This record gives sequence, structure tokens and C-alpha cells, in this order.
Amino acid sequence: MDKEKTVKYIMLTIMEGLGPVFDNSILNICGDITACFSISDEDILQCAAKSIIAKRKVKAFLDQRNDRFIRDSAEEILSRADASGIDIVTYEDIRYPERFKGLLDVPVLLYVKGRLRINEYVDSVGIVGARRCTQEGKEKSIITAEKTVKNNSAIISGMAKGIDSYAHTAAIKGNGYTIAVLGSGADICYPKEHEKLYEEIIKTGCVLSEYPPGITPKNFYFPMRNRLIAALSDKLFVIDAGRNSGTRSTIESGERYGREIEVVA
Amino acid sequence: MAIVVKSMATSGVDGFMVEIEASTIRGQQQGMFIIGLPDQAIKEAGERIQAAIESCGYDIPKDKVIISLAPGDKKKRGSHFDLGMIIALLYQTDQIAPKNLNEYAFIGELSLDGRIRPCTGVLSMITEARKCGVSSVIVPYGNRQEAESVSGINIYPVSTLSDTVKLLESGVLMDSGANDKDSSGGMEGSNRDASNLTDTESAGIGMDFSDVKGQDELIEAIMLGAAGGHNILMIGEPGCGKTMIAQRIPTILPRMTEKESLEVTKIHSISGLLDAGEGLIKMRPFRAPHHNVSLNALIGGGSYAQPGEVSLSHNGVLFLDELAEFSRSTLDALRQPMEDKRVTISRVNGTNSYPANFMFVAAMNPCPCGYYPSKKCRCTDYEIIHYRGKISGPILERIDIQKSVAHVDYFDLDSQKSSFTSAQLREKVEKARKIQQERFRNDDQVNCNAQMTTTMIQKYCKLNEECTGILKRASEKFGYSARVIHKLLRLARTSADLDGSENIRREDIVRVLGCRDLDVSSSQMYAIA
Repeated sequence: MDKEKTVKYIMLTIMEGLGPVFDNSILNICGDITACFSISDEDILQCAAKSIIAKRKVKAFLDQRNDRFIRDSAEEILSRADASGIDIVTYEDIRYPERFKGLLDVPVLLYVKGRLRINEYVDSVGIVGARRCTQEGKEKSIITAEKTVKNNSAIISGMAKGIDSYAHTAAIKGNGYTIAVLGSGADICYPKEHEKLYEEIIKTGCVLSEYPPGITPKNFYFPMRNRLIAALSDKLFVIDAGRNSGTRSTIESGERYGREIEVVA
Repeated sequence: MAIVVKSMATSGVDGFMVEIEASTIRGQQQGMFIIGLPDQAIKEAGERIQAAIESCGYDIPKDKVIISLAPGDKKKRGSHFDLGMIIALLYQTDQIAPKNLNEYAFIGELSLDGRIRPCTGVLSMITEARKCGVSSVIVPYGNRQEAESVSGINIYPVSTLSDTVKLLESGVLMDSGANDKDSSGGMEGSNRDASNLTDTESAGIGMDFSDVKGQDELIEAIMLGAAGGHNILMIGEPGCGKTMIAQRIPTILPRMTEKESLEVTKIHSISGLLDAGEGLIKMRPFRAPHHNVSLNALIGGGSYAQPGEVSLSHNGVLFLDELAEFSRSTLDALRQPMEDKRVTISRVNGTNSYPANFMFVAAMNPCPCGYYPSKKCRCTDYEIIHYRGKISGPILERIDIQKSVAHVDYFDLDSQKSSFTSAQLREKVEKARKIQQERFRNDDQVNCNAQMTTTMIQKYCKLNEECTGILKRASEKFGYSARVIHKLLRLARTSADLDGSENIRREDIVRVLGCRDLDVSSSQMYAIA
């Protein structure tokens, strides 16, 4: 994939006031990323008028697409990603998850550290749950993950404390494939006691994030991260989660995407 | 001609002799000049001396007064030169007529009305005075017990300047008339026998292992540690008695010899931690610095390189509660003193070396919340590993015994009874130590099992086939390194010594394998480490 295209994808994702829903729509309208930046303002406005996206957002896009500052930031992100060994997997990439196709609010670009091989797996299973889990929760998480590995399915989780960490650990111990979706840049390990786990996940599986490298975790990134866990999984196992926990947002996204959800008890 | 009066000073735990010279120069501007690298406290002595001279009815000299502290190139500190200075000055100005002045050394701080106040470091100074051949030392009344613990030198405790002058002029110490009228003040310079350290019960601190209920297994491990000089780490949930047990460890350590007692007292004396009227410290010290302790407070430091907690716990117990909360650099600084049994501190005002031969006792919680492995605990295995990882490997390497402390059920009747008293335990410990002293009598560096070298382990810790088998199985299960096995062998040696057995037996091996609770618990963590 040529550098210019990647830079344009990054520009699209970092523009202010525009989210993944807009990114997906504009790509649809224009056809591909190069077109997004080459078609004249009038033509884009005309096409967009027929679609659901707000005119205000199209204008914001047109204002920013030739912005020098946005371009510089995008190039900086690209060089930073290169420096920290992060792959940028875009919408056009063969590694871009098939499971994202047809979903409106998934990112058009992913920052990946490790090997993203989700498309090679027929089945993918998300295991999510409480960070402050019980001893039983821990065992359930491990057993579920071990079963999943035996079925030759990928394990998706969020590398958070508790259930998530046990799911990843069991996947790695069982030589399974596991993906950790992070609520920070893919080069940042959070929480920090998972440093070893993070390194091991990268060796055999991957960590991915929709946030550019160097972005530190923020509380409102995690519900966003949760929707990606749901989008990547065919089936979600929920363990030990409280009524108003963050896991709830994973489940809601899962329902929206039509994923199978099972509460392990 | 200048008058010379002897006094003493301290540098580290040792003293050195200072000669105070006083001279008056006629025809120059009136004033008092103190030279010889004095610190602020010594410089201020001039004002104290003038006030004391005035209030005792003597005359302040009209000439220029120079007081020199020799050797002039060594920095001196402290307020205890006052007494020597005023005597030198009074004699120089012919206001007093002392006999045999050069037989005496003077230690004491003056108050403005001529009383003598106690000061720090008296024991070190008197020990050095005896070495220098001084026959009599005049000390503040408040320091008399400390001073009298040195034998072979005449101690004259005084409480006022006029007493001192009378003593010097008549050679007889008047009844000092101090508030404390007990006979130990003494009419004569006392030359007491300080060797009666037969302190029967643990010096009235009122602590005994019989207070500890339901922790028999741990107490046995503590006894093992005390017997062989092994360092101990206790792991347990909050409120299970870790601190209580640690405080009682000095009560089962062997009694201090006179030499040990002197070392301890010296360090406490120069740190100003000796209570007024306290003589030799007979109880082994127990120091428990809080976990926010700075590196300098722990190891020693300050502008005068004062002793730190490691030296204050010399010959006793250094207890670090909440070990995981100590900053890493602070803990790592302990490595050298634990190895060398000594610390050397260098500062602008000098380099001092202090002994630091302590038994290291630490306590920590098993996990960040403190309740692992009970149901209450909600810590993840990764958090627990992270928490335990705060204690660096080299420190853990130096701890032979890691024992978890059982949860105590207050209402469980079985745990109400106490199985051990400190006296019983101490008897066993002393017996085991005697065996060790006999074993290592040819080696200066080693005096207990914990310090055995690899060659010694091979020589003294032979195992029979059965024991080797048990040890091998355990080592395979938990992945023990050769170093840990050596630790276990040292412990097994101590365990055998406790029962007076010549060879290491099966039960010794089983007992010491129970002393690696942290390893066992950490090996059960489900995590990638």
C-alpha cells in the first residue's frame, strides 16, 4: 500500500468533528480514498446531499482536507507508527477484518502491533467481564478460553485487569490466537502490570487500536474500544460483569451488530 | 602561658581526644575567640561561658580570650566542650586553683546559671579517654549511668560548675545535690563493675511470645530464624499479628554480651537516643522505621554522617512493616549493609563507618488489597505479581524464611492457648547458637548458619538419600534455583541444631520446605510472568 494513501486514511480519521460513521460514508460516496481528496467540493456536496450525512460534516471535511496542519500530523503519526513497529491496516488492506464489513461505525483504519490474522479464523470469540473478578470468575474465564482455543477459534478481549487478562493468558498458554483491543495507542501497555502479557500477545497474536500511537488511555476511549471487541467477535462470553459495568457497553454493541451473547454462570 | 585542659569529641561511633587551650592577650580588644574548626554549638559556647562566669561570681576577663580546640584541623561539634573551656579560662585567669588538672578530662554543657547539662556520645568519649590513658573523667550528672558502664576509669558526675571547681581544688566530690538523691550518684569517683548483664527478664518491656495466640507454626519459623541468624519475611493479611510478633523477636534472641551491649549503647548515645539516666542498653534494639523513611534515615547520613536505622538496630532487629510500600531505592540500599554488616557514610564533615549487624525482619501483605487468598480478595494475579515484584530480587535473595501468617479466628477456642513463652524459646535459641559458635570457632567471618559459605554447606549440610529425594521433588515442583537450595540447606542445618541433632533429618527438610510460602504462592499465579 502506498504511503500517500495511508497518509490520506490517517488524515480522514484525525479530522476534527468527524467520526467513523462519516469516514465510512464518505468512502462509500466517493468510491475510494484518493477520490475523497481529489473530487471537487461541488461534486462531493452534490453527492452527499443524496446521502444521510449532514451537510455540516461534509463542509467540515472539505475545510480540513487541504489543511496543512492535518497533513503534517498524519505524516507524523505514520512515522511514529513505523518507529514503534505498528502496522497501519486500512479499509483496503487484505488483513482488514471481514467482520467489519457492513458495520457503519467501525474505524476505516486500525493500528496493529503483531499479526492481524482474524480473517483466517472461521470463528472468533470475545471473552469480557469484570476487572475485579472473583476466583470463580477467573476459573470460568480460563475454562472458556481453553475451550475456545481447542475449537481453533480466535480469542478477542481488551487486555484489562481480571477476566480479560485471564482469557488472553489462557489463549497464550494454550498456543491459541488472541487479539487485544486497546483503549489507548497500540504502543502503550495499560494497565502496566500486563507488560509481559502485552509482549506475549504481540508475539503470537496482536494488539490493535483505533487510536494513533502515543495516545494515552482515557476513560471515554474504553466504551469505544468495547464496540470493536464486539465487532471482531462472532460470539461474546460475559463473565462476572456488574449491572452498570463497562462490559455492558460491549454487550449493547454486540446486540447492535447481531452477535451471539452468552452469559457464563 | 596557655592552660591546656583535656576534653573528648566524637567522630562516628569512636571518640578522639581534644585539648582545650585557653590564653589571654592583654592590650587587645576584649572578646572571646574560639578556634579549631568549631561548629555553631561550640561558637555559642562563648556566650554560655560568659553568662555562667557572671552568675557563679567569677570575673569575666578584661583581655582578649582565645580558646583553641586541638587538633586544629579536625572538625568538632557539640556543646560538651563548655565545661572544659570554662575550667581552662578560669584557671588561666587565676580564679581557681585546681590540683592535678591534667589527670582529668571534661565533658559537659553549661547552662547560663552554671549548672551542667547532659550531652550525647558520652560512652564513646569515655571509652576513648580510657584508651588515651586519662584516669578521671568529669561528666554531667545526667550521664552518670552511661559513663559508669565503662570500667577502669574514674567517673565524677557533677551537676554544677561550683561542684566541679570544688572537686578540682580538693580532689573530693561533694554531694552533688542533684534532684536524684539515690546512692548511685556516689561520693567517690565510682569504678563500677559493668559486667553484670545478667538481665533476667527482657528488661521490663512487658512483651512475651505467650501473648501471641494461634500462630504456632509461624513462631517456630521465627525461632528457626533467630537461632540461625536468618532473615525473615512474614506475609499475612492486615491484623493477623505480624507486627506483634516482630516486636517480640528481641525477647528470644540470645542475650547480648557486654561487648555487644557497649556497641549498641555507643551508637544510641551519639544519636542522642539514650534516655537520661540510662546506663548500658541490655535489651537488643528493635527498630521499626515507617515505610516513608528516606534513604539517608535508613542507612545513615546528614551533614555529620549520623547513624541510620540499620546502625541503630545493630545487634538487634530491623523490622520493615509493609515492605512493598518502601521505595525501591531505599530497599536496595539495604543490600550492602546486609552483606557487609557495616555501613560507611561519607559527607562533607567526614566519613564515618558504623556497624550494622541486624536481623532483618519484614512484613508485607500478600496482595494489594491484603486479603489473598481469602474470598474477600479481588486482586488479579497480574496485580499480585506486580505487587510482589516491588521487592527486588536481591533483597528477597537475602531473606531465608518467607512465612505466611495464618488468619486468626478470635472466637476459636483452640487458638486461645499459647504454646510458647519467650523464655523457653530463648533457651532453645541460645543452645542452637552455642552449637554454631563451636562449629564456626575457627572462622572470624562466619558466626551463624545463615552466613555459611558454599564450601561450608557442603561440609556441614550432608543429606541422606531420603532427604535428598524430598528436596529434589520440591525443587522440581517449584523450580528452585541452586541458591534457594543452599538457603534451604542452611535452614535445615539450623533446624537440626535446634534439636541438637548432628545430622540433618527428614523432619528438618520438611520443616524448612514449609518456610518458602511466598515461592509456593507465587508459583500458583495464573499469569504470564
